[in-house]
Amino acid sequence: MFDPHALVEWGEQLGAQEVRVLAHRIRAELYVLDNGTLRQGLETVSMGVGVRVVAEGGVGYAAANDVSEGGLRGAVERAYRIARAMARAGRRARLAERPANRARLSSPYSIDPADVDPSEKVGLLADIHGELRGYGLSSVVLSYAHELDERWVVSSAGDDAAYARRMVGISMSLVASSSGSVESLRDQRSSVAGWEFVKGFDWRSLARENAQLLLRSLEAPHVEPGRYAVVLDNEAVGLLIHEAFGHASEADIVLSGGSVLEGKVGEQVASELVSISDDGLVEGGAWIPIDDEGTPKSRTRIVERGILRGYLHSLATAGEMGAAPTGNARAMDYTFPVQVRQTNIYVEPGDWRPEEMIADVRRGIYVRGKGARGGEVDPLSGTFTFTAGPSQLIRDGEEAGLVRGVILSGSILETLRGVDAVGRDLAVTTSVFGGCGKGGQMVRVGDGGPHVRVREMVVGG
Amino acid sequence: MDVEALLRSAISAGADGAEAYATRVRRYEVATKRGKIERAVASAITSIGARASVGRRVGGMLIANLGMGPEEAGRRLVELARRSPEDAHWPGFPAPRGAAVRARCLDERIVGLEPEEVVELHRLLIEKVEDAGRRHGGATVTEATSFVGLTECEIANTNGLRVKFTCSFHSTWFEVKLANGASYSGFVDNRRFSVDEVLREAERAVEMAALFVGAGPAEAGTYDAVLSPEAMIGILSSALAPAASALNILERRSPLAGRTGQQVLADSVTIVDDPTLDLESGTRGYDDEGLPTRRKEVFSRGTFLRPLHSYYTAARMGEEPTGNGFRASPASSPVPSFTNLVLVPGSGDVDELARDMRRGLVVYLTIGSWMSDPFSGRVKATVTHGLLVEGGRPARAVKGSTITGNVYEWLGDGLVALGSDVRRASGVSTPSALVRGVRVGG
Repeated sequence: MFDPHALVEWGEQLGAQEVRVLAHRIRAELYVLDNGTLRQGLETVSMGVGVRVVAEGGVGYAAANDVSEGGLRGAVERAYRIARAMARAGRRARLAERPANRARLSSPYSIDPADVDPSEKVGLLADIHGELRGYGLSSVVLSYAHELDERWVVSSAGDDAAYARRMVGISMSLVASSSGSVESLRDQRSSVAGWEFVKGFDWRSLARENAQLLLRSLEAPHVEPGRYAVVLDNEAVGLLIHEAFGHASEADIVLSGGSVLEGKVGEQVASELVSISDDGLVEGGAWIPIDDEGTPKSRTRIVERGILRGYLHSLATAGEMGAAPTGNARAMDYTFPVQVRQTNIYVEPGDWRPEEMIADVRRGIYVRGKGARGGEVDPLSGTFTFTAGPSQLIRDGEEAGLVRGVILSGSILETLRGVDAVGRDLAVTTSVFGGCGKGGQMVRVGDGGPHVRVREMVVGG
Repeated sequence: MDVEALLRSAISAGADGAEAYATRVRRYEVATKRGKIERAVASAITSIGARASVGRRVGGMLIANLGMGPEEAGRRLVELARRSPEDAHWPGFPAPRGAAVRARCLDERIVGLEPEEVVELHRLLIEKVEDAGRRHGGATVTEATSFVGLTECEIANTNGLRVKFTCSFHSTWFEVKLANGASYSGFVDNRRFSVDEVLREAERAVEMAALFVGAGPAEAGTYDAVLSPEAMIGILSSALAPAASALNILERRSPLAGRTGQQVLADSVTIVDDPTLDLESGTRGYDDEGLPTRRKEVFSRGTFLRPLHSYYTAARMGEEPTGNGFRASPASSPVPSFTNLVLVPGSGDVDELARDMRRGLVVYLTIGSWMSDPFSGRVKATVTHGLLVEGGRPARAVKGSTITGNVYEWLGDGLVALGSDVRRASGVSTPSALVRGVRVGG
């Protein structure tokens, strides 16, 4: 990758107060086997630079992937021009200060997936496809992906911090039909790792498990809409906490006036059983040791025993609110400026066993994350929603049959105040196939937690 | 990178055929938070997607790295193709197929646009919301984001196809909040840069927000519901549109498989694929394979007439390409999808349809409709802005209720009426719809 130090110097020569450069390179591979035929065999090679300039108090951002000297200088000049225009429009930034960060980091791996021949990757997908042949499924789409994401932040404030993250995974999208009934199931496993993760995982067993669950769900009724006590498994609680709480704790949303958590630091916002952290390095999550402004990212405890302790910050939001930056300034890639984003958010473990939570429920649903499609939140109205995979009805403390088509919704504060049991079985997961979308940008995230029980939620189906 | 040089390089490296899809996107982004313009961004990004075939083996590369030369790119592309398994159905790359339809996709106002003009749009948006908000005790723009720019596109392949065109794009999304805490969001997403259009949407958002004070979930049950055009855009895009793709039909994951020529929706439902609408998001003369687009009915009076084709699916089904091959990323294999999906309107607007309901729900805005299932047509969404109607009149505001059902039932036996109040955005043109059998969780 080219050296971004020169861009910082050019910006300073133009008269900028601060220059911050994100040099970004992605190398990725994707193979999609669609009912046994290779639909996509795709390699991505992307490199470019994003430049943030502060001039006369205004902030400008420009991006380019023309990495000739002329192209890079052009990006610095555009950012400088925009910064001055923003200053003239009366918009001046207050960026938080912190010690300069110098680091060179790489996520752990043993075998670089880029060194493995594509025929081995496609061959593995073909094996999984073969494993699924006997189930009579209508459609089987299998994907293999890996990416090497390299980010290097250099700033006039002395930052010179870089990291490289390798992620790899396989996803399955299955469709089955019978007597006019159609059902689908998506599942994936990803890890911040190398090819050794793919080699060491029992994909055939996962494929069989998914096919069997899909066929059972095909016969299951849709859940009757209403209000239920819910016990959420590790994956489902990750969706809940990411949507129901994580976005509302992002300081740019708080500053916009769009979060129900505004002005609530120090207040009880959840049951006292609930503690929530955002951690760039938690096991199982997306590995994010440095954010895209160069701030180190480790663990930020947002909620402690139900009390809101603070928000997630970039340098700009921390400066605006007089808080410390938390390493949550993230951009999808160099073409976008940073936003405040979650890294890996999770509920901290408590001391319940999952079966104890179910045993206490008279009428409820054991909400399972396998097959869920994601979630969305409207932080301003405080309404969030997420879907679940095939889940179990609970009657009188026992699992009472599979239901499908589950979608849940709730109000952020009410839902977290309604948590009455938190399990001891923490698990966090991530995905190389997707992430979280906000303002037109998608970033890799992780989420999870232990099993959690909420006294009542709205369930549709 | 010179696409001709890339094609030559792929052929000299041993490819039988090759294709390049190059885009240069120049874009401005402006964002506002809490009534103040927060940032402006300029970017200029060139990407080249390329595919090459060796026999029936195909490989693809996305190159957004101008440091890579055509020789290296061509060589790696052919390596990828050689190591891919064969696709028994591979038909090669298309030959040129006639001229494009007349489809205006370039708004001259966006050519030469300066970032200051997008900043000015936000200043006017903030002013309009504050002004309109005075009638309601005050209003602010909590968040707004605009993306405005040009996409220059060049498609070339070794069968002699050469197509070049430039289209503009503009999206502005914003959220307004009244002094009493009620909120609403608005959006514009098309190929026009019309300040007036954004300001009209802003004024409407303020008036709409005032309807949703004190909202809460509705009682669970099965309701008649009026789905606003905004709600319909999400439902049609996610639950219905993918089913018309010939690839999904061929691969047995569409409920329309084997149903061409059959009645699958109500008589009153006609859906057109229309690339000729003036300056809408899906408007364009060529698809991503360089084949001409054309206007055609996909569902006529409820009957499914034809699937949408890419060159690949048309060859597999022995039919003519329809100009609907679009790519998820510049190097992806094209898959069939709508240009602009147009649901032909009926008569009456949301309010009139609501008056026809004795008891029901008017759904204005939802979240999560993208999680609906196109394989079965199952709709899933959660209402953020709705009104419960009793005796033809709004009884109270609703939020946090889930709505589920099946799009083939809602637009089939469950369809009572389509409105005339058409909304166009994000490549969908649709009226509101009054439907029966909406399962509401609350």
